[in-house]
Amino acid sequence: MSNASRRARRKARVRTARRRAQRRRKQGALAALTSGALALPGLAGSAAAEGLTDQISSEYGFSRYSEGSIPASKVAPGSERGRYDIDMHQVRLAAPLGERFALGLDVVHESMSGATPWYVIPGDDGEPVQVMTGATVEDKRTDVLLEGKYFMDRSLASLSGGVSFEKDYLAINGGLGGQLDFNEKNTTLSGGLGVSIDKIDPTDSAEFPLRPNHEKKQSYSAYAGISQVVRRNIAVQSTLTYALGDGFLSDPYKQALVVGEPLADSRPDLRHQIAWLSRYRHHFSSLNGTFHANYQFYWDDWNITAHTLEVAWYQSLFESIRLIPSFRYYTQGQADFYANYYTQVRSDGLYSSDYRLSPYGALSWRLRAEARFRTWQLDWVGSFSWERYLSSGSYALQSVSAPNPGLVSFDVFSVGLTTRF
Amino acid sequence: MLAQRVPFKAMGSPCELHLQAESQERLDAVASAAIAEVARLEAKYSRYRDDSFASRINASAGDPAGLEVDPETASLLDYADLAWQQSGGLFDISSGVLRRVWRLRTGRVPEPAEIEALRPLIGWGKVRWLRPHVVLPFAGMELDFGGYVKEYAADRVAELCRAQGLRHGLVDLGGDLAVVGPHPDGSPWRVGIRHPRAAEGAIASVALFAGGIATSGDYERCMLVDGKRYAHILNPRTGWPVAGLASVSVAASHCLVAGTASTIAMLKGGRAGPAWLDRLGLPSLRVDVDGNVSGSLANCTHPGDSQPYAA
Repeated sequence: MSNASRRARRKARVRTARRRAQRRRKQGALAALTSGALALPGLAGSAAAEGLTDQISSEYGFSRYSEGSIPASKVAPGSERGRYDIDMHQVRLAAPLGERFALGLDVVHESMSGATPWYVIPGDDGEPVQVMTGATVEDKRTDVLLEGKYFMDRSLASLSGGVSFEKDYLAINGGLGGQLDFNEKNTTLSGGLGVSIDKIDPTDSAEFPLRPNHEKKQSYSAYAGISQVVRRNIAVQSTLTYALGDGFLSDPYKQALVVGEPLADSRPDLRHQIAWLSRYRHHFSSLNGTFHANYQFYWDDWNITAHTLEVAWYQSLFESIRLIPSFRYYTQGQADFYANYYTQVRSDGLYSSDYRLSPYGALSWRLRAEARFRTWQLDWVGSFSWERYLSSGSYALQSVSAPNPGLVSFDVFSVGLTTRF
Repeated sequence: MLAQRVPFKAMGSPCELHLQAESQERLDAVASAAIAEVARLEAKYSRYRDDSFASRINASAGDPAGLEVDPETASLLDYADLAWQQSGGLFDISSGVLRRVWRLRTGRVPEPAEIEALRPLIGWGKVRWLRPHVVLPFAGMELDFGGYVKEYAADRVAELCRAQGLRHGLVDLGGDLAVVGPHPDGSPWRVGIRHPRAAEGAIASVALFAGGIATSGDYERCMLVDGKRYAHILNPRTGWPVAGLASVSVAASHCLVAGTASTIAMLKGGRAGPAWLDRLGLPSLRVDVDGNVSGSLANCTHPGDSQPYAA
């Protein structure tokens, strides 16, 4: 390249840089200067707060999940109509150990009770109706997850291990992940691997001969993602996840009616799943709010295709309060082998009338409020949220001729309290 | 909790750290790291030292190849470019060459022709800045980091203290202040703003929980000739010292932003400066050369009823 053309190129680049700067001027002087200051090395303390802090953070949350009753018209005569309730207590602790290492501990304890969908039969008018599990199921589940993170200047590595137990269920899981920042932290690549080994010993299998004994499954997952700051106030992220389930993937507590006879829920012992999630974040400084939009495409080799669209608005008020209304739409097609009930025997022996494999759509909306306050010399964040979820065959993108009668609706109320010390 | 005041001299100003920590070892370690950081920045960006990186940049003036700069300097040049854009060309780190004729110690007002002769060497717009290369196209051009490196240093030191585990403290680099964190009981730092015409008198007391505060004034480093005051802040367009405002204090999320805003307001002058600050939306205090006080911090003269500023 000649000197003259090099000079011309440089001039063109100077012009581009100046034009970019002129555009920035229109964004407001204060925002521009502040973001300029934050770009300086060592000045982005608040931005770095997502990374390693030297404070112990502790969090407690309580949620009550309650499913709505099944309408009388959709339940088999004499069956339970009330459904599941779950009370969930969650404690989270995160603490730094030295300059580059941080440890996080998550403990979740759930107590569940209620009746769950068992199998589907044809009703008097031919419409499918749900048979619920007769006895009220009572169960408790405890999850413990320990995660270590190692922070390097431009990257982050994490290792996690956890265990989850119920009286009929034991799962051990592990994961490792990594994150790499470059392009002055405007671009972040992330990736990880996970594995889970589950042991299932269904309760009362002597009483219910269709229930299996001692089953096992393994799940493996891998993900890769990229996030990019597009402009000072816009960020996008895209993550592709692949997961493989191998082993006993059926639901031991469900049955399917096959030619008039209830048989054990029986699904393939392999499941390949792919999910592609894209997120968009747009901050509007004039409104002191941020718009979030997420879209996820999902497909698995049982042939379930699903789309999720979620939008949320994060509004800050009076510097200490944040309101987050959000709305989510979900739609899925059915698994190949799914039916409400079967009038013919299938050659592959696969049967399931689980509503989670049926075609349906769901709408949910949530309002979350957070308040920051200071007392006892500590900074606190208190939160409250309420979510309502409704699912129905008529909400699906495709038309559903005979929706599953067990499709669920629920409310979740949550309260939480976080502090650092 | 131990509290300690650590006075030291750096960047041509009296500086002081107000630190609070659990142990004396911690205090000593953080204080020496903080002072070392200020010394590092002074050595790197002082125009008075021939071995500074700033002097190396200035020595490259006239060389069309320019100089490749390190990431920290690059970020400071990016910031200078931004401030130049935001101020309509008033905040200009190339205007330091005017000091060759405005020698405040000599007490002599330069001839217009002397200022005119320097004109070709002034203007950030003439500097070719393309990360990581900076080119000062004409021999004699200079970049002066002195207009904002002290504020940057205050922010860096506050961040350094936080990174070392301190939660409470205040960094004062010659009146450019950055908060490490409020007092252990959560109460803010009380910062007195000096009266521009009375060396020991405070004109206001500001409560500072976080962020920083910076003051630009015509009282520090100035000269009086025939009763007229000539300040050290020089307008790159006219080549003359600023007039109209005697002092401007601004509070912001960072001392650097506060210092840039107060300097730009001083440069904009008695009428446009305060109006620009009001549009900017940061708490400020302005004293004009006739002694008139304005700005949202002006009401904070009584410590009890001050408007706390939270970043």
